[in-house]
Amino acid sequence: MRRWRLSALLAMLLIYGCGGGGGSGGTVTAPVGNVQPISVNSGPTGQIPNMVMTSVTICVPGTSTCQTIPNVQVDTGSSGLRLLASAITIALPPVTSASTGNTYSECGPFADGVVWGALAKADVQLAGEKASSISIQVIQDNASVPAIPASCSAQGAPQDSLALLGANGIIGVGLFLQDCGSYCVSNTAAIYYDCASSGSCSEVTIALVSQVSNPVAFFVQDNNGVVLKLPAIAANGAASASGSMIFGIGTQANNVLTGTVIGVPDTGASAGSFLAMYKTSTTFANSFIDSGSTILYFDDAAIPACASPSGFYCPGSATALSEIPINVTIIGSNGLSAPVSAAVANAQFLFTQPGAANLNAFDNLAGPAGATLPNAFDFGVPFFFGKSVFTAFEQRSTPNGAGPYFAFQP
Amino acid sequence: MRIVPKEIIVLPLLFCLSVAASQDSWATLGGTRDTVQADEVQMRATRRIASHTGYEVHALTLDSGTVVKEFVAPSGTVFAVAWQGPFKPDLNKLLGEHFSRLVAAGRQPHGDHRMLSVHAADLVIESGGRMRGFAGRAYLPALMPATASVEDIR
Repeated sequence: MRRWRLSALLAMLLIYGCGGGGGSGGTVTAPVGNVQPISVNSGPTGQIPNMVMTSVTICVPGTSTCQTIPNVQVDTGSSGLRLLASAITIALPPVTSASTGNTYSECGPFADGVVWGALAKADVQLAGEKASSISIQVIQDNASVPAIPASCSAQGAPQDSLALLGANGIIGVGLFLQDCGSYCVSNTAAIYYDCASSGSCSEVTIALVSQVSNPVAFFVQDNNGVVLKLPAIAANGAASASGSMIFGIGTQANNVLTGTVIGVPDTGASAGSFLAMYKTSTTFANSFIDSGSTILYFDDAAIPACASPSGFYCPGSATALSEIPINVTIIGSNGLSAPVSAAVANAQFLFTQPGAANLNAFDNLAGPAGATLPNAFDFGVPFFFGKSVFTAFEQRSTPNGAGPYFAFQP
Repeated sequence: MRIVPKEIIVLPLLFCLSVAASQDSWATLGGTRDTVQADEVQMRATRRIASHTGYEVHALTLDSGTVVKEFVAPSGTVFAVAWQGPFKPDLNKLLGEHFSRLVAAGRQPHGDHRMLSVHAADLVIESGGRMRGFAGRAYLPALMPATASVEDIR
């Protein structure tokens, strides 16, 4: 464990008390800058409210040939860095198969489609932290990767442009160390491919080290989780909200967790999910916290859905601000629970109120989950305002216990 | 819910033998019951059939752990499909001719990457979830049996 503590005694206790953690060795290293600015806005397209954005610096591994790419979406619901090829100007080395010498490519799955492209090695730098030579995905790199295979396009439309992604890329800092993980080490799943120079791509198994990986989990320190800290905003919305992505949990003075640890399973059908009790009689067994969800998604037939815009709730007046309170108790697989209070406003009002064209961050946007997020209360970006939200990684220890877990505090 | 609590577990090997010649046909949305069996082979799945009042639900569990359900009317028509699991299934084959409508929606600027829907008078498609947890459904409103509820398609 590499940790820094003001108290040498505490540091020693941590070093000797934490097994199986992220780093290696017992050296206490000096703290590095672990605060990365983030902003909630409508992204570079201006079309999608509540996008959590940051800038990411990538470098040719081991060199000072670097590029900082703005407008990358911060996503605690996926793992791995994916950047549009059109946004990258430096030449990154490919990730190749030892057996064929061909470059690996990936069909990155998202609900609205797929991202297709080659794997590359990069040093990924955020604040003062660096993940050295990890696999990232270069989306739609037509120069080095063949056309999308049928088994990939069969999973949905390619999200291959800034207009469709709503960003230059996605930095996945979720619960898991890799996007696919152990399943893809021994099984093909129309996720990873080996593409020959002929243009023919075959589904392949792939080692963990080659898989697209959560950059934060591979920092030298502060690698056990991530904290998203955002200010409270007005109920009418805000033009934008500036906050911080803080690396590590309990590794520096600025990331100490005092809230309740809400444990989640790391495998199985409920991986990454906790229980949410809503209105005392409704149980959502597959609930989660997710900065990649721009609204709260949950089902309540008592809240009217909007005629327009579709996909949102529209309780109360469409011509004046009103909110209905939402009270939920979330219960982790560790048996610990925490109350959550939220609010839902009329989305039609929020989007048509005076000055709406300049409002891009909302803490009260919600919509039905339906069959697409079954049994889920999805605590999206509206949940994050006015809080520090902790996402603790699998296979990493923290002073509050081993990940994966979620937590939050004021 | 009007579930008749009797489930038939069918050994996948039997179906490998019986439908080996029909692998090119798939139980697509709007297709027929016959093609459900081909799915089982193509998706390397095991199947469970549950009888409901007025329709059957054929649930295929894929090797990946993803469960695909095909809702079959008495006429033999697949009037709805649903999926849930760590990976998305082959939606092109599952949705058949209707897959292009999902692709068209995905090629238009839309919201976040957690949900995409097609809501039309003749077709509903809803795809959602996050990495390691996807789900969705599609149905043809005109072909829904009177005894089937939209709420049951999941």
